[in-house]
Amino acid sequence: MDIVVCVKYVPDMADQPRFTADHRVDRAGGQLSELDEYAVEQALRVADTVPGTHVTHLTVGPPPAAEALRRALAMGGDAAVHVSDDGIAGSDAPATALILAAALRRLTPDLVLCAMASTDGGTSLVPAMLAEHLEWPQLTFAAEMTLDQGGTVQIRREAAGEVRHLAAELPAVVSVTDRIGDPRYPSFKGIMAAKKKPLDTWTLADLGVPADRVGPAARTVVDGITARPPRAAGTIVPAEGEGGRRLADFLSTQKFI
Amino acid sequence: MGHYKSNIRDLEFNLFEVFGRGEILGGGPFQDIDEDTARSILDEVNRLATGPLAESFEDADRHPPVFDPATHTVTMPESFKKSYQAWVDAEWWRMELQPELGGTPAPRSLVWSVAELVLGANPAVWMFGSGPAFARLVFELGTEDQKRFAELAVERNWGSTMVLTEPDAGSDVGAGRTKAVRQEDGTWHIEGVKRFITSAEHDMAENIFHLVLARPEGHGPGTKGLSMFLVPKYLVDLETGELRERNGAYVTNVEKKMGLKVSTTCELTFGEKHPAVGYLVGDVHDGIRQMFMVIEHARMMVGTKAIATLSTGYLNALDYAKNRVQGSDLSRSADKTAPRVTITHHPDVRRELMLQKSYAEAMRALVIYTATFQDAVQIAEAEGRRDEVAEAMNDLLLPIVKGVGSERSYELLARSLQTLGGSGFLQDYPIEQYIRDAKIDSLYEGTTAIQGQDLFFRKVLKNQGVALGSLLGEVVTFVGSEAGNGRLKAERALLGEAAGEVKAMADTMAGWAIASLESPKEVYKVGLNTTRFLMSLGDVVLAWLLLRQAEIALAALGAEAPDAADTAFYTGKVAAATFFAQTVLPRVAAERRVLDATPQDVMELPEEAF
Repeated sequence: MDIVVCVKYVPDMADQPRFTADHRVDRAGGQLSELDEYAVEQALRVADTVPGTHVTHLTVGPPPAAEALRRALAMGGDAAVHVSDDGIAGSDAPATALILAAALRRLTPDLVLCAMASTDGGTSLVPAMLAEHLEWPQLTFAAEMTLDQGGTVQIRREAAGEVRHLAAELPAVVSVTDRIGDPRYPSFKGIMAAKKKPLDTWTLADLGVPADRVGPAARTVVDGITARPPRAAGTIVPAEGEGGRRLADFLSTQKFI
Repeated sequence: MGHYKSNIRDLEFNLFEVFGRGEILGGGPFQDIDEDTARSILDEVNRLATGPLAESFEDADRHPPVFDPATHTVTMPESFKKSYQAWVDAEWWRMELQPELGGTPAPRSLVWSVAELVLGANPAVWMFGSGPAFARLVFELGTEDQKRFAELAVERNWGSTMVLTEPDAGSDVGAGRTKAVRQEDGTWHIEGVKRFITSAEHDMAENIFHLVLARPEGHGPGTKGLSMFLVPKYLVDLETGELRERNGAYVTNVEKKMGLKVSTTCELTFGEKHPAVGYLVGDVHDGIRQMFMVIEHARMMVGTKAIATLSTGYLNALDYAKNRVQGSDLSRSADKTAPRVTITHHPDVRRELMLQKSYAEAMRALVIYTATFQDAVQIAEAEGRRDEVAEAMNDLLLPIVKGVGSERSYELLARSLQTLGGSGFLQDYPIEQYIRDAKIDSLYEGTTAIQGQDLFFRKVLKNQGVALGSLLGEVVTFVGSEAGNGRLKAERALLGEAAGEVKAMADTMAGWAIASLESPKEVYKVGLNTTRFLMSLGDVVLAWLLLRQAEIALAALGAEAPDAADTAFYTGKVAAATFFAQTVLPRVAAERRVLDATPQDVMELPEEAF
């Protein structure tokens, strides 16, 4: 069983997000997207139980994005691939998916795992786009995942207020939510071992991706960025006198009840 | 977010910018751990510490371990077990072990940096996790069988304890009455009652091994007559590694305490129900020297624990002060329409915060500075030689780390609590627990009084002032340097004066000590001032370390534009050093005046007059 986990190097979202002059996310001091840790964990759980499983972490991003791969490798897994090329800068979700799909064709995994979204862009689009490019089934928002001997993957999908049980033949693309199981912490051994694991860097040319379909050729362009306005002060209904009635009135005018 | 607020930036600043640890990482005995790896290690331990380790800090205080006297067992709180297991599973303790025991040696400076994170998040996790470090010692000192025992202890995550204190032998270890009786098969039976034994019983490991000081029958009095024995809770089949029968060492009480409740503090009774079998460590009678190798480690740990707690106390106080809006700016206090401001705007709060910051950061530097000498000792050992200069400097600094670290941290944690006003008194915030948990640090592993005596009598007088002279020599060299390019001139002058005062204090005390050979009561004057000297020397060393940091910070600020976060960090470094030099150092002169004028009055006072 070959598994590829798609991961992303994102800015630390605990800080105020910063942007470059041309409206791109400033990823200085970045890290492995926290949601990706859940996808890595799922791959490692398969590897823990199915002998012969090979886990590769894959990312597209600037040179420092290798840090996200090293962290994923410290959690576990066997190898990592970093697609890095000056021509990629400025790519949007479709362009990123195009590049990832090209790398995945080369890696020929049985299963591709992604997070439900990145913590910075947050579009949740890339897993679906990958499935489309590869013409593989997509199972998204998995809160539970099992693989069976016959080469199918089953998930419990939790999204949009409903639960669905879905199955697909491998190879397939699966995205997982943060309810699927807590990621492990890298151990001392994990960090020491990660340094010795292969981390390959591929360029657009290596993958045969035409430069005019990515980077500046992105289909979406950010025109401007406005900080979210500070939250307005809330309405306080004191618990006295007609308080209960006024609370009910407030909730009904807001259409909560 | 949990209670624990770490300061990775400051740890890395110390390790890599101030003390140049990058130069020893990746080479010599530390070839497997380069600077990048060290940074990843700190990063990952930080995640672990602020996450699962810190998580049970409060719950385990409110629901402490339960002792069942009928079965001599302790049930630990489930929340704490999870934290402990997370620590054991992550295997950071391998950094403390030699490769023969499955370890990857790391410099002590990195190990103590890691320790700070764990000790700040949940100190008992580190303490229950002493097994590997003690197994290392058994492996170093032990016989072939004991080496095998150490391997099993590491493999199976056994717990461990150090067993010195008895009901009537605390600071006076040599008064210990626990005895060891030699058996025909070469083993020993230990008989007696020991007290205040940390981690002697819990349900988080299948076995616990005790390192016990006991007096073999026929041996003389005092510490010299004591030997060190390995006494496991369960006897072990060394071939298969299987546990055999229960050994006769039972916990007969677990103390109810002010704080650090999750750490079990036990009375341990040997040989009452059935024999407690012990193995003479290394098959040599050299107990006090062997045990001191454990104690030194423990003193460094306690100082680091205290300092780690102060640091998170300060950062919690700072966080509160930045958000708490109360009152208007003092300069506009008459203006009823003046806007309300956060309390960081108030001069008294600023002064208190700065005092906390400067001590917390100076003492972190002290821990890592001390550890650099331990690094040197490690490197020398790996090269098959001894670095006696580094050993002596480590010896000199240890009572400062432990004594000054614990006293100043406890004192300043009260200031951290004060920053929160009445809220600080509530269990809604962690500081009241920090204070309760940190009080023990000035008590165990040698009280502050013992640290002061150790510093003056053993580390200064017996050393003939060599290590102290070399330390103060470095301070004086710094004072005379151009550090800070004029920007730190006034601060360097203040440091020079204070260093002179503390040197004079040492000289005066040495004079009394010499005079006591003729008239014994002169030594009381020394005894009345050992703690004063400890704290004063501490302040001078701390000021020096802060100023060294400031020099580096000024250079960084003057170099190519640092980013906003770095600018704030380095600006804070310079400010802390200046504040400390201006407001703390001048007090050393007053301490010297008090010392110079020491009368015998207090010693001559009849007890009834107290």
